[in-house]
Amino acid sequence: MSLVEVKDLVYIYGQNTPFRKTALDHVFLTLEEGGIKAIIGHTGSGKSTLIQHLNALLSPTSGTVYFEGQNVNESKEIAYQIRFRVGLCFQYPEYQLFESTVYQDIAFGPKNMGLDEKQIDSAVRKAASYVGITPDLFEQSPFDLSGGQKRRIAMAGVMAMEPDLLILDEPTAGLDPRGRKQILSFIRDYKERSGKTVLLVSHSMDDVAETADEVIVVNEGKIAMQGSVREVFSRSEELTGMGLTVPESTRIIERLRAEGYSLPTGIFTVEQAATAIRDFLKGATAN
Amino acid sequence: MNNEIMIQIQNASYAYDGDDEGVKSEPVLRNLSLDIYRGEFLAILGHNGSGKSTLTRLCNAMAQPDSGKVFVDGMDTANEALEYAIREKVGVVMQNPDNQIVATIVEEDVAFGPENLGVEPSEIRRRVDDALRRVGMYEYRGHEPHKLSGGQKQRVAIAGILAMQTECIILDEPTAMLDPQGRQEVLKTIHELNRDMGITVVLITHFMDEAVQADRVAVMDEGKILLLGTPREVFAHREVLFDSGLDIPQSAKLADRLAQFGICLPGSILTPEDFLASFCAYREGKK
Amino acid sequence: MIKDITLGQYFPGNSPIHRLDPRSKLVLVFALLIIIFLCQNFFSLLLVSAFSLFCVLLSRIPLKTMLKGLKTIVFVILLTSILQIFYNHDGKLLWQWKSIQITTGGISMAIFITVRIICLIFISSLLTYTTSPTLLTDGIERLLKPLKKIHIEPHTLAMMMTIALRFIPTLIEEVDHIISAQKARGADLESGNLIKRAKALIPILIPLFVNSFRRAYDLAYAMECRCYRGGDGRTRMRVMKLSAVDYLAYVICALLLAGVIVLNIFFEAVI
Repeated sequence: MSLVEVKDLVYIYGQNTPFRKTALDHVFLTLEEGGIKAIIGHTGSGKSTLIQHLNALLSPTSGTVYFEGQNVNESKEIAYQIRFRVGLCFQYPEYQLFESTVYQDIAFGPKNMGLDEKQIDSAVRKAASYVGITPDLFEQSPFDLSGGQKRRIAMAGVMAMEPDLLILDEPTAGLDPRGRKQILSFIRDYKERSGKTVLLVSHSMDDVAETADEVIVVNEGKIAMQGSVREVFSRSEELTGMGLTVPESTRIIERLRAEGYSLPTGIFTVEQAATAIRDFLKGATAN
Repeated sequence: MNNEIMIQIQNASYAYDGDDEGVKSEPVLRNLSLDIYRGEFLAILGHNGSGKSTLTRLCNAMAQPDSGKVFVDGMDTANEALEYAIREKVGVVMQNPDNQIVATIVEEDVAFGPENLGVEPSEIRRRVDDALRRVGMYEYRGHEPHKLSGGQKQRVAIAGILAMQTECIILDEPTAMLDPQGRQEVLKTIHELNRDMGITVVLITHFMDEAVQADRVAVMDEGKILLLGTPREVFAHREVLFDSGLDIPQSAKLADRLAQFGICLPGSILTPEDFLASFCAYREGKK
Repeated sequence: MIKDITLGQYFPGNSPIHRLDPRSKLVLVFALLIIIFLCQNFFSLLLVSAFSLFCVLLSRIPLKTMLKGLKTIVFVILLTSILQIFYNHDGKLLWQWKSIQITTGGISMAIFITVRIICLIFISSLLTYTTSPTLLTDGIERLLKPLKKIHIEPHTLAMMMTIALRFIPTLIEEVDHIISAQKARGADLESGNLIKRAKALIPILIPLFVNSFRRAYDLAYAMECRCYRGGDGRTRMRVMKLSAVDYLAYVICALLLAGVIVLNIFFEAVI
């Protein structure tokens, strides 16, 4: 059984208003368990709408979303429970902090799940450790901390529900290079240590190239591509056509290929590009 | 670029008021000196909390240094009588596009600055139309700001500054909250203003690829200028950049990685174009 | 999408009504509302309703939109009509059941009042339909200028209105976002008693307040950067000048008032 199965999903905003807009147009999508997956698409492509269907925050105009075989919109109760199994961390989550202490804020989700004190405590500690929040910060007000710390606390708040699928919407938006690297490494860590599936929503192709195994491209309310990072980034021309960029390494290799150098496609990190160029030069001197 | 100084910062130090009365917290600027030349495009790089935003406040007389001096076009920012004359010369665009648009209609917002300056109505009209054309938002003059995209909102904010006929624009991470398309729009716009109108641009950013396109780059850390020079000069100091939580462009990283493989491409490489040219030259040399 | 909310109910256009100076519009709408109340018989009411309809047609706002605007007060219209029908016992008796009587007087009063309410709604909604909130605020600011003498600052009021109008959509969007985010963490906003529900609002309200303060701080900074220093010495891009259309409108209104008075004198009052 697949982790997530989206069948013929249609979602129309403002159904009976003059602003009626089809955000999702007959979407079919299957996500298997495990690994880090990424959804990419430009603003307004429908990617945000799609993820809000996976945890039943939005209910489809038509079509069905299954999580481990369960229709997430079958009943109100199921739709409510599914939010603990599909954790969704929104963009700029630091603006949703509200509790008086860091600990309380992380504990909000587990409390809503109805866990007892002991379970809550262990969930909070575990989640905080995933994002490098040390216990000495627990009693501080989240509003007194730095932007990067706030973001990590907000992420921990979702991780603390121990969801089977963790969805992170633009987790690195607005961060400086150091903060970005840190968050990405925490995400990779989280996947390793928890063994849960992670779904990243991003328009930073570099983030995707560095962390994801599988990429889903959303365009005009439809799934335009789905495949390994290598497969998707080897179609850089199509991606550019959809208003997306590709990593700089990919662009360099594409430019060299256009100049007539026979380099492989599907390169998306500096390391791969360097290796490919080295191998190419070796081959060239051998001839 | 000429050698006439637009903004001169002389040994400026600044600390915010601490939590306790009369006690200052850690200084955010330490004995910082910087000359910004008329007509140049200066990028200021630094991680979050390196003092970049405080520097902005000193440059438009929103704050005075605790010690040291700041002159804008020869005017001392400590002279309260010159406060508005200085703000008329130095405009500021902030990170969050939503929080700096005052009016409910695009053209009304652009008119806000000149209206405050008491400019004649017919002249305001002329300036507003001109400013909106410059940023490519003239067709949107009657729109409501909240319906625009992030990139469009930032361009409206820039037009609002242009309409004051400022000579210098400081942009404080204007693209941090934008998607790649919005980023491109804003960057294109500010480069055009710099090139076509000779407006001095100070771009505060933590995107390395934005800094690469500047005339000069200043790197800030802990309230000091660590590096200052052309992009090529600055990005040659890899260690300093990494130590202060910054990065180098991917093209440069790729060249570095190849160098570790013993493949030394000639010249300094910052962009894919550099890489391509250098790679071709390298191949020519090998033949 | 929530982003598409339109401020007020403004329908952009270029009709003579749209082109009226907002100050004129405010004054004229006020005058028209009084004229509508002055009508005492069907003849003057007919004149006024014909005029209202003429204004609607002139504004090129679709009649359907205007009628939709009545939807919210259909209940009020129905209630007053029914009360009139059952409690007004003037005129000829048409139908009787026990103590309930329906008379011609009752029916004509019901019609009279219904038509009058519709005219009131049409005229006042024309103001918001044909004037952008910005212009409206501007018009109010300039009309209230004399208040400065008694130390009420119309500019400050207008600025507050403008900022409120500007940020309402932004804040609605933000509330929507925060609600989704807290729901994703299992916040339950829909069940439980009043106290539980009030408590469930805390995770929404605190971030909203914190973020609003941050926005306010940013905005104040942005305004100061753009040399804002209150209303003194401030000019406006839009010059408000009364044009021929405005004078014509005043004349028409005066004629209408005269017409209503004459009809009121010559025909018997029903109200």
